[in-house]
Amino acid sequence: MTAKAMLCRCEDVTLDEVMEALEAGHRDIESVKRYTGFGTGWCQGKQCVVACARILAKATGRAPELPITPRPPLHPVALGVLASLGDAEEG
Amino acid sequence: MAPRRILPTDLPPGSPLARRLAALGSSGRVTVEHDGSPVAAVEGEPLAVSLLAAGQLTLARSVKYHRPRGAMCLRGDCDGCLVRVDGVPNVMSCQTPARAGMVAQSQNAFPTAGIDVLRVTDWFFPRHLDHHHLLVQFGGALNRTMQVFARRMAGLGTLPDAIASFPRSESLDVDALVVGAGSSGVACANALARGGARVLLVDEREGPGGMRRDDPMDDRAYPGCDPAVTVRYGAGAVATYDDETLVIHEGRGVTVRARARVFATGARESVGVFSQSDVPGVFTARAFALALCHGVLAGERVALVGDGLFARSIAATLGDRVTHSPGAAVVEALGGRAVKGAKLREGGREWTVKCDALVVDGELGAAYELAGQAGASVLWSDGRQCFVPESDAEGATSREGVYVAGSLRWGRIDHDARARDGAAVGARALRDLRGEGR
Ligand code: FES
Repeated sequence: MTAKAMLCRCEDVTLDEVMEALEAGHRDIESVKRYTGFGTGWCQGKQCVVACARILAKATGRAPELPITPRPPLHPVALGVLASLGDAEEG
Repeated sequence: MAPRRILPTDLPPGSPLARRLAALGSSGRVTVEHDGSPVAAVEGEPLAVSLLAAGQLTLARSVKYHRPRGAMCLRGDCDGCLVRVDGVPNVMSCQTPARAGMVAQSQNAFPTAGIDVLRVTDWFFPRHLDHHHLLVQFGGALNRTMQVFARRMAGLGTLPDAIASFPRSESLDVDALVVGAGSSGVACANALARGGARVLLVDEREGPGGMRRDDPMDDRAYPGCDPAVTVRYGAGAVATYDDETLVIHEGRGVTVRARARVFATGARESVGVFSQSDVPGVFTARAFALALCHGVLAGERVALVGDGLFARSIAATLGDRVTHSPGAAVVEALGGRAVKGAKLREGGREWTVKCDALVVDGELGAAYELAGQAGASVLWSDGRQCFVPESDAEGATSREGVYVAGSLRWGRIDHDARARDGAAVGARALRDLRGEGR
């Protein structure tokens, strides 16, 4: 296996790629996300958003003020569960 | 050498973990199946822990490079433990209790997760394969080729064996919803219920205690819930919007309407970013500690790095069975299919340790996502080096009716302080519910 430092395990985004994004002029976390695709995988950034923010803080001297928008769902949900929400039993 | 189960008698008498394991007893032994082989499990323990105990470190392959993946966090924060269970793809095995006869299969690999020929992707792209960038930059034929390539190589699992039917959803109306049954969540729910509010307390785990469940040095009983609190375990809140929260309880959708929402979702552990940090056998200290609390030693030769609560508890429990480097940082994990060692650094000195489990107690990050979805303002904290929901002294956020409590807002504080904070936040939410001023 080749040595890679994974910043985002879910999408296989390496630390190298984030550094390249910085070199290409992307300084805010949202555009680094769009450039590399980090934080868009299975876990939706539970580990890598904060890791990337720390890297940005170190590299640019300024941490991002806001995280990327935390969108639902927190964990993946079966479409069948969402489809069943229409016909609820009142409790 | 491989992970294995330990007995209370393997531990020094009187150790808190020995007492916990003795209390677990030997009941509930069942058999599950993994890639055609029988695996001994304890009913109700996380399936990922059963697989770990059987030495199954590699459970899947990563989407792009087909690098080996295994459980890393054991608390639903990574992609490491996804398996196909009973014909359903992408099941987070660390969040799935083991049941007799369960059939688990590794996924996303050809032919198996152990020997995956698509792993050549990793060697073809020694630095990285930047598909987003490529797809944007090149038009025409290359783009189309890349699309086909990406589609063939990437993706998670394959469709389920059968069309499942889903149970009818449920909808609940309460005064207050508390998410997270750790020390602060329970204290908060109790304060609300004792003040007469109708409270629902949910937690994705199988019982209360939060991080205390995973601390092998903590064998004290968890404070009980007031009988007036409605409690649901195995119930994870996954989305929240307006005054509604979607909870998945044992595979069923539950929509909860609540005037007050309290998030006591704690902090996430990490191993940090270093070369090869994704190799199976690299665990967060909490994951390793969690497995220990189920009587599973996730490695025979353990390199432990960091000085957080879980690292200290592991060191205190296992003594000289682990090599503990509290002040070191990991430079690189060694090994291909499973971790074989680590290069560590401290104060200008670099050295290599051999291990079959690399356990790292890295930086914490507040689990802010649900509070953020609910509309609370979430900002970077220089002190904690992570994003944290803004809150006043009593846990109220910038969004009316949304509160945060416990480690989520303070970082790792001790149990009594978390409980006190939860009670104070509960009292505040109660006053707001009654329409009283501050
Ligand atoms: S999500 Fe299950 S081990 Fe991380």
